[in-house]
Amino acid sequence: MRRLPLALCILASLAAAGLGAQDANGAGTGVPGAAPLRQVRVLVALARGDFEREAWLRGLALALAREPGVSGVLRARDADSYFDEANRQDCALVLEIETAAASASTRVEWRYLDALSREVVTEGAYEAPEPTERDLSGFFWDEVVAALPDAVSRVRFTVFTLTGKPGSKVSGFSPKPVVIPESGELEIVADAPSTYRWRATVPDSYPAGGVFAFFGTEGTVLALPDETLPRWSFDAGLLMGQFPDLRADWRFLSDWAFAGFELVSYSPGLFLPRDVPPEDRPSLFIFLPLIQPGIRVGARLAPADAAFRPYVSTGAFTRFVFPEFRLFMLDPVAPFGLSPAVGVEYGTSRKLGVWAEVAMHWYFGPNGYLIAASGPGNVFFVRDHTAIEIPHVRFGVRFAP
Amino acid sequence: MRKPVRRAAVSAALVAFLSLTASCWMPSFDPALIVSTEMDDFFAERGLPEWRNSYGMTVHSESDDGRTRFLPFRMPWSDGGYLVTHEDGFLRLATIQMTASGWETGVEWGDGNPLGKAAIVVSLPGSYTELLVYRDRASGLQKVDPFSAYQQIAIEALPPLPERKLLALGFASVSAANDTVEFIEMTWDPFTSSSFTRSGSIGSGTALPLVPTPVSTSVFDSVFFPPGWVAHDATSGTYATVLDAAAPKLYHATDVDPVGTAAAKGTLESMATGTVHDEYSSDLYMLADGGNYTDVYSLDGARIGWLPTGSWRFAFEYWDSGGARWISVFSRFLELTGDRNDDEGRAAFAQVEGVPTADLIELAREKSD
Repeated sequence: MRRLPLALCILASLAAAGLGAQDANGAGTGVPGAAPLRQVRVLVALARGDFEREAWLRGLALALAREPGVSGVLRARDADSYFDEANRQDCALVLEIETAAASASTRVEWRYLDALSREVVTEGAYEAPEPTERDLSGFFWDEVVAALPDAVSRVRFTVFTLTGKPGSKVSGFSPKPVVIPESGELEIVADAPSTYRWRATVPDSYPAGGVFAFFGTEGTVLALPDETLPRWSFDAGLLMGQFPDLRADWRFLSDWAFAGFELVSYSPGLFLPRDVPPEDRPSLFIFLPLIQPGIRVGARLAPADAAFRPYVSTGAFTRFVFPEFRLFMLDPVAPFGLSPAVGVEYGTSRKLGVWAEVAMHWYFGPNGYLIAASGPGNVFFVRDHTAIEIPHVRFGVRFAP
Repeated sequence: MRKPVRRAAVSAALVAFLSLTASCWMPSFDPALIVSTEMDDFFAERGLPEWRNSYGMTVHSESDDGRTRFLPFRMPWSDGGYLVTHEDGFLRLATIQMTASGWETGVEWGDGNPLGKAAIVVSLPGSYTELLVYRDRASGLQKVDPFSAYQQIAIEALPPLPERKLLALGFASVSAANDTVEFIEMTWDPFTSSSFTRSGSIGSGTALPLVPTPVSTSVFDSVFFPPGWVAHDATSGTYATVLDAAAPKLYHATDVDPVGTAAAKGTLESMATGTVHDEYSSDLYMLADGGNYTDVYSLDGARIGWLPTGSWRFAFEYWDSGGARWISVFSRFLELTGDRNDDEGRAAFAQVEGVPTADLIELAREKSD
């Protein structure tokens, strides 16, 4: 019995140690209590010398790239101004290598320099037998690689703070997206200067994104925008440019999906027949005693802040008729139908957009052939109890208050 | 600032472009067909098997689905009939024939459209080949055989009355024992402003009768074309006449020689399209097809009710001597596809139903409000 508290203490200690290890693995995050893993980009500047340059560079790059503290290895293009190049390429460290041939061996002098201050962070030299290509990709660089963690830890250590709605997922600052914790703040370890193209998905808000240039200024904060997504949107459109189409949609799943109501009225409508002599031209307006209420559900195929947002949807509708106002009843010929559609929305602004879609009416009724006879030429598929019209076009304006 | 402006401009351009798609598209919707489904139920309940028929067919060439009707033969237990199209004042006729691939019209319609303007087409009793057509006052009433080849159409004409204009024309079945159709023709003499009525009976295989003595009936206050409908009430010796397609009015004219009176009995909502008898053959009713609904009037001009005929068209009334009752026959013609340039023809179907006229009047009375 006396051993039980001790065992629990050990277990708790091990658990705490395990959590600490997990936090330490949180790449790029400044979770309190965690030791953020630094990663830097290294620019390698290989001085001129009598050696197989390409093989040396390839071997050195491979050796450095294996290190967890390195996020990228670049080769200097210009032997004279590689510090400028390092800063342009967001490389925090510059590795200078100089070689000299000795008797039956090669002398290597190396130094890590801070790209911003150009100060030597650490340096060394060693002699080794003339390396083969296999040596160059292996032990030949051991001393240089071994000095890397120390060099990384001694370059200027910078963080900035990301603030935003908890649960926001931000990509672009690390290999994997980071998530804003409940506190609403997250420290990002970054080299300075550095530039990030970032993008954030914020729960129930418009996605955000941009380019962030970090100069290492202490206290830098990047606040994620939080523009709440509208819950409802209202459409006013025309079916085939002729008949009014009104909709109200409820948006959910961060605006990736919608469901709503729809009313197509065939009274009044526009009627513009072609090839009709002026004297026989009918009235511009027609009044078909038919209304078509329905419901619909759909999914958008692009995020809420995209200019063009394709979508797919399907609707179910009923038809009510009121011929000559003597009756008001469910259409006995085609009382029900489905209306699958594909469309695209173009956002003029956050609140206003235009949309266009291609949809079709798939009717169901007691006699599919009577449906086909109701609009000669419109139907391309008919069976005993169903008929499908050729697709039609709808377009309109969308308002999201 | 530039971005919203550019987006607004793009949006406006899109809407403007899409507005150009405004067209003459119509949904699959036919009010007449919808209304007629109530009549379908009525026919299913009261229809007579000897008249019930339907034809899926292939239609070639010149039909116009909005103006074409199916005219069945005036005999029970018989298949087939005619397609009749009134188009811009011209008449087209075709028979439907059973071929190896089913019912279809000829590629060339039977008459090649030689008939010109026509007012009324009636199928002749006892005939599978002849129709009665009134096409203009110069030709008068004619018997036409649309089966005949082009330019060999057998036309037998009742000589028209000179210098007179047609006011109204009517057809009615008489006893099937006589196998005849009664016609009534009312004309107007512009020089004397008198109206004249003549009538006669036409049977299959018989020549059109000459009616020797037109009866001067009345003076109407204006002349109308196309002609109206006239019915003769034998029991009262009066003619009920519906004139003026724009604002149909029912007149009663007595056949008092030389000149009677024509008293307006009331305004109808649409032109009369036929007459039917009551159960006892004592009273006549006028049917006035208003498109989606057919109103039923007594010869006194009182509307006794209406029928939800929709796409059903009244064809004729038939005397069933076996059942000793009048049968009202209706037909419906519907096209399924509307491509006018389809060389293979267009799918269509025609239906025929017959019900006791007494049941029809009963249905109309139920809908008197």
